[in-house]
Amino acid sequence: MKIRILVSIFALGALSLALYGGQRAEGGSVTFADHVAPIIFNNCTSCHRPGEAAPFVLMNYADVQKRGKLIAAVTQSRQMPPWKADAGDVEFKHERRLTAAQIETIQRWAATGMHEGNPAKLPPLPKFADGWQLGKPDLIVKMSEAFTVPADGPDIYQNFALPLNLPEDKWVRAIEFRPGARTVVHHSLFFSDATGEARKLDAADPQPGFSGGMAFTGQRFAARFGLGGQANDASATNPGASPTGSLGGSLGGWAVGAQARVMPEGLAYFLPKGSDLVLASHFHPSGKVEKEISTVGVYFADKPPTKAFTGIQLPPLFGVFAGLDIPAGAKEYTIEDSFVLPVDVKAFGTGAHAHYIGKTMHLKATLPNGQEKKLLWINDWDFAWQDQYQFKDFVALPKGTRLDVKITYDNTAGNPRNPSSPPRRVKWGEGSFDEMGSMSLIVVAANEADMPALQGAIRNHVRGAFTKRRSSASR
Amino acid sequence: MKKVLLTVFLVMATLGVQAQDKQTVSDVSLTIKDLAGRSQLPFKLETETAAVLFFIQQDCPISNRYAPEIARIVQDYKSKPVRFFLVYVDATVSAKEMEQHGREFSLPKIPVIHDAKHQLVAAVGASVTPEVAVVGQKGAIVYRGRIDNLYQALGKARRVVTERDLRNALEALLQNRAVPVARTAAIGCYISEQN
Repeated sequence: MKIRILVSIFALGALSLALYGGQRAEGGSVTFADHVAPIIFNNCTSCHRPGEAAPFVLMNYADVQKRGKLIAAVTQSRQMPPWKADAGDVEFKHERRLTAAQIETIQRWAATGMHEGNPAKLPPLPKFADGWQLGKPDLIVKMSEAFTVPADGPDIYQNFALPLNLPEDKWVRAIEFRPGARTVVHHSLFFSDATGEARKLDAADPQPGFSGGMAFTGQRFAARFGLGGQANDASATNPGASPTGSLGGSLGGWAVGAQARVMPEGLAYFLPKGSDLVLASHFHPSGKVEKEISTVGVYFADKPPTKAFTGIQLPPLFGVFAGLDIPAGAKEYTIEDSFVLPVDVKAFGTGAHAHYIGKTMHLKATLPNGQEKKLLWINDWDFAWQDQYQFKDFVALPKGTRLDVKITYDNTAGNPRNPSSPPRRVKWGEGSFDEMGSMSLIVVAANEADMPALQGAIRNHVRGAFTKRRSSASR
Repeated sequence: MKKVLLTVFLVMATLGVQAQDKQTVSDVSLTIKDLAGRSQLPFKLETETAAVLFFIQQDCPISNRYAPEIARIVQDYKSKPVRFFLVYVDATVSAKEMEQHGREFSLPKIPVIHDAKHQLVAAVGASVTPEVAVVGQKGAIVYRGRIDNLYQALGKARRVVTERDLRNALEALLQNRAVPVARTAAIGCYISEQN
């Protein structure tokens, strides 16, 4: 009898424990409606919806559950959402990085049966603007003929010169890019060309657009500044800004998944009258033939900008003077460059450029007080995901701050992106078997009057790199 | 007695593992309708050396990127004693969508099977798309895995393909050699378990 009571008590205890445990598991379980949907809807659905670039839609429980395992894998590896910059010490605008907690939530959901939860608790889908994200552009231009992307083969880099027919100089606040064949257009970088050079190249190439080089900039710099080293003079003729200076006529860019970037208030890109807009576009074959006609919307500033900006590129000119000579099999070939700010600046953008075997790209600022700031930190460089980054807020860097750039290359057979099999010696050049390497910081002078001093120091840095290269080459 | 039972159990378990290692499909006579309504016995070889099953998914970008290479392989082995099948693994894809997808991506004109219940997926142990299984005599799965090493990981495509595993396997079989690498990890979209 006693035993039976004891057993009953024990059983009751076990039962209540089990119930309690079960309840706890239920209360702590991850569901789509409560936890996963907000992450997916706010970070993935802008592209993963009908008519957008992503290959499948993620708009409801069934969509996400079906891909649950894949989503768990690609978010954990940070392949998705596409954002190559690691967390540095400053925040970016439109950052598409999931937090560690969000990634963990998806992991737990995928590992615990991918429960839907209470559909009534499902958050609404965000409102996505159809058409132009920034509103009606001031100028819309379109490729005049379609570029055919084959079904198969390596990635393609093709440049297109689009005449703008501007009768007067303009200032550009933003450019919005709309690909026609969304599955094959990976990214596009925008440049202005007032020389007519791009137009000639376009006409000479039998296909729409023109190939040559990994990006239009590389080719242009190689052609125009390759050995002269006088890169920054155009700024003198454009007192409002230094657009064709070390930015090389850059007008920003677009990558799949990215939102159109507007320049910070009071700043604009200079677009000389008569210049063409050059699109340096990257395509990757999808398995079927696609025809691309890109459309571009240009947004002009109402009035000339109040401030000038400039790019500080380290090493300068995509590393043409950095003496790149990467032996076959080198696992961590490194180039470095530093620049000390001669005046107080405020940085608002950053970017990086290398080709296929670039591996890590690090840009760090060391302030005069010793404080270090990682400004752009890419640990798994992927040429396919070149992005232009804008800081969320201006980053103040006082006079005397040292900028350090360190770029490494992996020229081993173990690097899947190595274009040569077996690996071969790689030098600086514009071709896909060559390399480049530089990182840029886009800044304004904290005091506008300091701009000439800053530009002078940048010019000196370029000259210094050239002189150093020439003397080491002749030695 | 208990000991005997345990031993029997252990022996059976070991045999089971061994059977799995050898990996033959459990039902060589598995019959399934293709898209044209014909009954197919993909694991039953007549005079052929091997049957190749391409597991694909109409909305998987990696699977789609392989469409031209799938077509080339079928073309290159057209005159060889090899049978080919395209197997769609998405439970909800319609016949019309499969036909349209095949046309759009110029997939080869070989029997198309909609494996809605994952009978073929389970029989050969496919887990992603694109993945390929090569079935030899008596249902032996002589190769399973990637078509080639274009992808090292999700999102990490090679610039140069250096291992063409499926072609290597077929060459070996046709020359009556052992398949050099019988199992590789396919990179692509996971085949959904909940169908």
